[in-house]
Amino acid sequence: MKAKKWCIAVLFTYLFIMIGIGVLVFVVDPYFHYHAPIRGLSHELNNTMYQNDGVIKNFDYNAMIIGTSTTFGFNAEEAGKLFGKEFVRITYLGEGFKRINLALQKAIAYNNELSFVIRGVDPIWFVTDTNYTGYSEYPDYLYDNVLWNDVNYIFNKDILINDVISVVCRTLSLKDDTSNKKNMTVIYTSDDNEGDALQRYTRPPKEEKIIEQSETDEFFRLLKQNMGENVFSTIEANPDITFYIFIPPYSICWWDSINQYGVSVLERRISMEKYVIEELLKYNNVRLFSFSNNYELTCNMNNYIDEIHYKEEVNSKILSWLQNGKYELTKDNYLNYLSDITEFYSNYNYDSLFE
Amino acid sequence: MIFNSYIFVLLFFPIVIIGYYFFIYLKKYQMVTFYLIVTSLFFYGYKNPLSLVLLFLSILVNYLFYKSIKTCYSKNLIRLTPIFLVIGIVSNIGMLLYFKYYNFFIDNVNMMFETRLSFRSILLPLGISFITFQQIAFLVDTYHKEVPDYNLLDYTLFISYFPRVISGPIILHNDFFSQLSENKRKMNWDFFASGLYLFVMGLGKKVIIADMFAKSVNWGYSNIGELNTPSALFISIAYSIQIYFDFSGYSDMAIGISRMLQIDLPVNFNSPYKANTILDFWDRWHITLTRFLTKYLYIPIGGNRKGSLRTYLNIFIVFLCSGLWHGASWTFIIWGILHGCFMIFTKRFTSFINKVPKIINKLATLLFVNFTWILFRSESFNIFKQMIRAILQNQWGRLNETMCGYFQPVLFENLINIEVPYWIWAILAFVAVFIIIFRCKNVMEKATMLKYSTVSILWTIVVALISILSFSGISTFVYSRF
Repeated sequence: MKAKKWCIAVLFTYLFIMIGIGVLVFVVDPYFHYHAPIRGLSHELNNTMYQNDGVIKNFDYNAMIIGTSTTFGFNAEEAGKLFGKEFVRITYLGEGFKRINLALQKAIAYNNELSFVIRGVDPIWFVTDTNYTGYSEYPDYLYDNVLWNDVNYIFNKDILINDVISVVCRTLSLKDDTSNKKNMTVIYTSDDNEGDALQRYTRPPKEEKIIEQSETDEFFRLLKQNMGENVFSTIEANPDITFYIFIPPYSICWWDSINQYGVSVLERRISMEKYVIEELLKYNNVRLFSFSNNYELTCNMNNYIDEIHYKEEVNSKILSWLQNGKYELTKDNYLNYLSDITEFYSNYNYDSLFE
Repeated sequence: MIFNSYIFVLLFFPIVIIGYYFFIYLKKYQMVTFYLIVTSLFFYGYKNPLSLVLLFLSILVNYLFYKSIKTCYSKNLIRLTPIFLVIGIVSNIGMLLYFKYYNFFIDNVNMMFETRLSFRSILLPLGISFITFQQIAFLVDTYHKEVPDYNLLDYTLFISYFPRVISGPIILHNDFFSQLSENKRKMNWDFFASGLYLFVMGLGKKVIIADMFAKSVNWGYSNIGELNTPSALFISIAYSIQIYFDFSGYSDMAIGISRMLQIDLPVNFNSPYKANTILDFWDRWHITLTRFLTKYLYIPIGGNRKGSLRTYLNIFIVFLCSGLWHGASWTFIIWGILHGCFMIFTKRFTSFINKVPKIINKLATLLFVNFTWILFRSESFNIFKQMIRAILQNQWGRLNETMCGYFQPVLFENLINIEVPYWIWAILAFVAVFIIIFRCKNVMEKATMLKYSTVSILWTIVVALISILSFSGISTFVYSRF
């Protein structure tokens, strides 16, 4: 073989394979960047950070569940049956409000049919900078509209091997056809033994933190700015969309972790929640829920895998409560709710958990 | 822009090649030079267009000094030539000192005199050390009447030539200009094939091997406290592997790219870890830097012509400068000093060392080089001390699991579930790399005697595909327990 023939063979085979890979990734499109799942082709919703944008832009839906990891365990099909709508679930694990709100705004911009949103608003993200984002590495190339940087998606070994080829193999073997499912179901496994979540909890040392007014003022400044820009503004700008906002029910261990710094810290937490509730109740397109006064739920650590994440059975319960209006907060009952949880969590015998 | 990026491999370089051979086909040779300059400037200024201003100024000023020295010779003003040479060298070194060493200098002044002089945020122009050395060499050669007449266009290409502008090899005028003649620019398929092979294998060395080891090394240096003795040793050897495959891979790519443009660049690495002694090591590691320092520093300050004591001092000075050239930090300076001292020791006891079995010399050289790489990698003496303490703590046990995790192949993890001990992949990677380093011919040797067979076609394509597909990955978000 001569050098010329060798060079041409290398270059053309390389080119041919690269085009083949490009076409394969485009057709399978495991992150739905270009199109919704093709009928008959197996697919999996298993990587939210990479798939959320594709789901938002290319799936058919008129309702959405959106939030952090505390919304991860919801089953969109279950929600669809309860509310009679076509749901998608968009979750950002460990992410603050900024990126979640951007995703919501994008969904509204792309989908005129979207009329119903269930959004979890986590108290742990109340006080952050408005522009706070959690992920250090984020696949921007999937979220922007720049065509060129899609090479990161098209020619990506990890995606090709773990997502594209596995989808092709699964489809060919007909072992696991997920083409009609829109949600991954098992998220928070229930294989924990009783008491596992309690054992995993690391209790902070007890201290009586002296609260400076300036610190509280700063917290409220951040809270107002963060909620204003990343939650309230989208609700206000979209009066035709119904928002079911819920405050995720954190466990008694989470309350303990606050209480360990002193009752005044715990009360400040609740005063922030009060602000959020009062603001949200101003909107006619909002129905607001909180389950922190369901003490059977929050005080039983067997419902949880850690201090804030509940097991998937709890997600089903939350969906049913949203549907039947249980634990809904209104202008008439929210003050009672707040005084009730203040009373309960301030006086709870936390030490009994660890005896 | 870097070679191991999508934009370079999929867009920039194909465009360069197509345009280059288009102008060659049209026999527009001046246009070829102009085209290479434009593409080189785009390559250099891709991330920071402002750095082009500095590059332009530097080229222009040096060309003026070159012309001035030439004019002085032609007009018999020989007395003035050293003045232009000295000003030229000082201005080049001054630029290097300012951009690379200003903050280091301020830091040391603050430390010594307890002052609070403020640092400046200076953006280090890409490849400034290489560019500066090349321009100094050019002026010195001009002063020695070794440089013929070159026009500004050719000189601009000589300095900005994209395959080598960022990380070398450091080229001298006679390496380069002679290849710009028209008859040497015709398509030579053998040369092109060896270039293509070199580029792909260099890419593989960098992306597949060096970057894999780099992840483990970066983790190790950020978590020294978690390393037991075997893990710390593992990290130190892993860095020796990383730096060799990274730098030599980049050099292979540079030479390969240039060969595809029908311009040969000097060899920069020749299996350095196979060296018998430290003298041999420096004949094999970053060869063009050794050549530069020998010709433009060691020989001018006396070389070995003024007795053995002076020779040792000269070696010491050369390695001190080499250390400083590698980076603005005391760890680099000490690294250079240690190498200088070991060179002096080896020179002083050459007759004894020659009697020692080769294998012992090789091992001693490797151990020394590996030890000094720890210093090279450490951002401060404190980190270096921690690493040495981790190695010497005499705490034996299993290799660290996280550290080994970086060698776990992600391939087919969703399809095939193989249960093997976590450390297997790390050990396999080490064994494979040791075989490549110590038993195989290096990439340059293989490229020189490239066999045009189906096997070499397949091997080249496989390495190219794995490398390109590895430019991007996916980050896994470890959250809670899943």
